[in-house]
Amino acid sequence: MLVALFLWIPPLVGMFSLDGMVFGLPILFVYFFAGWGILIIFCALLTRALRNAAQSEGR
Amino acid sequence: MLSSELVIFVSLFYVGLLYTIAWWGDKRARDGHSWVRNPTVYTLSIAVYCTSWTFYGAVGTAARNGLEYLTIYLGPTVIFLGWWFLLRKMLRISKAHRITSIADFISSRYGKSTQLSVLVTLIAVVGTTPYIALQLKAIATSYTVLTVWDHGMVDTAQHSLSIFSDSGFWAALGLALFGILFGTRFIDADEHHEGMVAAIAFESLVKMFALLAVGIFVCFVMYDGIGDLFAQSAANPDTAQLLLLREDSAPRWLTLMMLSMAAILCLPRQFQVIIVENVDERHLATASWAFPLYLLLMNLFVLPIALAGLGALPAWADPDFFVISVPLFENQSMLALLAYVGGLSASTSMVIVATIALSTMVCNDLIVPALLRIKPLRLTERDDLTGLLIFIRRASIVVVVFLGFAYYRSAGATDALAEIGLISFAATAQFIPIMIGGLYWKGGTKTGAQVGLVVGFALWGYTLLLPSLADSGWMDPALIQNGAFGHPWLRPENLLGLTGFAPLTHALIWSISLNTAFYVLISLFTQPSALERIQATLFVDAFSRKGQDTVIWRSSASIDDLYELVERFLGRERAFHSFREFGWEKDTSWRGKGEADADMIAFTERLLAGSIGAASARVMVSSVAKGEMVSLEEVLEILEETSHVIEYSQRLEQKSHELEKAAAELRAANDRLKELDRLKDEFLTMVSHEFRTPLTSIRSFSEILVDTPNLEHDKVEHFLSIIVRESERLTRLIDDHLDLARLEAGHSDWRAVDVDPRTVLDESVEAVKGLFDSRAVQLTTEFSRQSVLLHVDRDRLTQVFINLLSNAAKFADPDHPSVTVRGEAMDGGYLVSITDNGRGVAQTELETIFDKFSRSGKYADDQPKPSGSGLGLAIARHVVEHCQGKIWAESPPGQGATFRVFIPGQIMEAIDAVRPGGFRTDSFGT
Repeated sequence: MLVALFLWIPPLVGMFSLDGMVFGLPILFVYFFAGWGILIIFCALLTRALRNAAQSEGR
Repeated sequence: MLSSELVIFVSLFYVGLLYTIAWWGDKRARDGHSWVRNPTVYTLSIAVYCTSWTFYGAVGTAARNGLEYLTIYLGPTVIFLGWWFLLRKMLRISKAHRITSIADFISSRYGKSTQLSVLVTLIAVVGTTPYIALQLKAIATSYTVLTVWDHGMVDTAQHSLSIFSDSGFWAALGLALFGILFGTRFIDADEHHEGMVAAIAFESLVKMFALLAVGIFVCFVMYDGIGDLFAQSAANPDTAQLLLLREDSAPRWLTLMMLSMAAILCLPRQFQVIIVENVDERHLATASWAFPLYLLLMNLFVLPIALAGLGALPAWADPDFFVISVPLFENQSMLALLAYVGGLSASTSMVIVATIALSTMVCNDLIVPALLRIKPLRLTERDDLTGLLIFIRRASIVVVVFLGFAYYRSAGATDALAEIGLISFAATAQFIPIMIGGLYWKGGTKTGAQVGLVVGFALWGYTLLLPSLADSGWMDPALIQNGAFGHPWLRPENLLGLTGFAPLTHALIWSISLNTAFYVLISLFTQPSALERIQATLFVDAFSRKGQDTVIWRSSASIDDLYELVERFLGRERAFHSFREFGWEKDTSWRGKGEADADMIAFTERLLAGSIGAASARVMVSSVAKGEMVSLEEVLEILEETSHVIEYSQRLEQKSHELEKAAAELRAANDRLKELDRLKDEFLTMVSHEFRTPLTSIRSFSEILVDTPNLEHDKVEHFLSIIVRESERLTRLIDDHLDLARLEAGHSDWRAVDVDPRTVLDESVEAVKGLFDSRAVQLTTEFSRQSVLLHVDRDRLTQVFINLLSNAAKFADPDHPSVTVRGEAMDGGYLVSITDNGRGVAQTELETIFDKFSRSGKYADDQPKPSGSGLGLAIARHVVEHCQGKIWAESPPGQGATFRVFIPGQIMEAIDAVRPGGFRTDSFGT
């Protein structure tokens, strides 16, 4: 959560405000959506781990 | 361009579909197999966050400010990724307290305060009104775009139309109807609206599908893929700057992030779907990543659509409606229609949930408390209030929707969608300080919360709402430009001369910082009431607390009273089921005239809180338990007093225990002292007696010698020898005494060595041989072949044996004296038995002969024998016991006496191989 917050507020955002393209896409655009996707995957994994932990505790 | 008939038909058909889904969802829920209760539907229902502001407005924002539109979705993403810290706690608390709205939540935290819930409700209604207006505007405009689509469209917007030909009016009407039908079908104890949630989830799917469809069309049909689109945009200097951040955008970026984070927590409709409609905490865990994923998909094509619109469409086209106008421009009318339906979904879902959430708040936290306070209505005495509650909710839905409509007709028509939405966000963000503070800081008080909220809201109104109203011509713009009373420091958009910020950032800086400051400061300087303290603890320590509610009622109502009360608000059936369940669960009676216990009263309060809010529920329950309700302060005082008394009495008890123990010890010590005193007297008597006998003879013989000078030589010699013997005896007596005293005090020297007891016995026998011979005693010794190794003081042990042997010689039968000495090696020690053939020891004396001076009673009718000190056996016992051994006497009648000594030691192999077999027997004697 904190990671996400720091990634997406200035001044870090400003650092990626660059001219140029990655994979034919603007850097900033890629930065946001790739970061977003990675955080979602990370969160999904974390949630699953938490649930497994809770289940094994319940047993 | 599409015919208006077709669009209207599609709209009606779509709304009809929604009704069907909602109706079906409700039906399934009532039948008990709800498919609404799963994490996917839950996540989709949270997506009500994406309103037409997202659907249309995000594209507009992207076309104006580039990637800034993302902030509105990154904020909620951050909150959901961190659900473990904040959302989970809010959810847990709300479930425990049957919270039904954000007003309920906040007022519950601050001592179930009615004033606070009224305040929150008012702010929520005022804050939501522009938002609802935004949706109505979006519906109306999108309809216009779809049907009129040309250059003149901008002018034919709402102003020129009468109310009844304004599509926004019909939309408002339809939405109010939907809210009434599915939001207030019945008064529920837990405020779950399965049908509504089903419809919302469906709408979320539709709007995502529509936006993705348009996005894919733009990227892959209009352009050769997304890369091509960006490449073309980057070539155009106007659009190229959208791909970068603007230099001065940092404060606004930060503001928008914070706002959207606040919004996802505080918007009444988000609170409704995330917290109130949640049925299982695990769903939240799934939503924590699924909802950000939904947001990502919704936002993926926003910038491409905006870029495409800017590139392809004429300059007069409103960027807010690119989603529709781009497909229209490309002659894809069906795709445009789909986009329109998506936008309709986004708008309707928001309005429906918002109005239902607000109507609950208005009803529970505004109208009902007010009605309860109007005494002439006698509301507390009416039979069935469910009808009234439903009516109030329906009326509030209509009022809320048409408030939005009024705002839309008058003020909202000019602003861009996103700007209207942000005004709303800023209003609800005022809840954040008291909410976060309430969740993590026990010190926040009701007064602090109220003042903070009022200050923040007032500043919001002055710095944000006022300029917005002035813009639409409702007010004199001079106020905005020159400030109130013409004072430049009071200019709403540059308060106290603060310049250099956009109006939104400026408004938030002032309202939130002063809100927080007042909340914290006043909280620090005010005392919370007892109920506030209890609620604060329940909220802040939500996870560490096991127990449910604190029981704060002294039973005074009958069960039937409570039952009727619940029946009036929840209806017959629900009251019956709830009470029956409660009765079963707690195994108590749930009907009848009996006194309701505190548990049941608390249960009733919670039950009512579910339908009329915590504050009103309190008032209602106290109306039934009237007169005998104890105030919390009183309860706490009683509790405190009781605990003091208990503590005091416990201490007393402890003290008395200690005293008792001390007394017992003293008594025991006293008894012992008395016994010792008696023993000492006895001892002194005996000692003086013992000493007197020899002294008497010494003295009398000495006197004879002095008085008769010419005594015969023989006699003189005889007397002198007696004197010498008696002196020796006296000396021995004193020696023995000293010896015993040393032994008793433990001062005696012990020189323990390893010895064979047989050698000790041999020596002892040798030592007493003279005595035995002089008395013609026949001595028999029998030693076992095996022996043990003893670790004892050899001289002491010899002393013991000599003493026993000489006693045996003295007390053996005077005519045929005989003494037997047996030594046996035994398991773990050596046993010596010395038997004489005398008259034996009386049974009663067997124990006491080992006491000091007990010799006189050793043989029942014997005269005391003057030859011993009477301390020998006492000394022997001391010595034997010092060696961890045992000494005792046996005396079968007519068989003489046997003294036995057992001393523990290690067994050793036979050392005397010369004399094999059984016992070695020696005989002495005449």
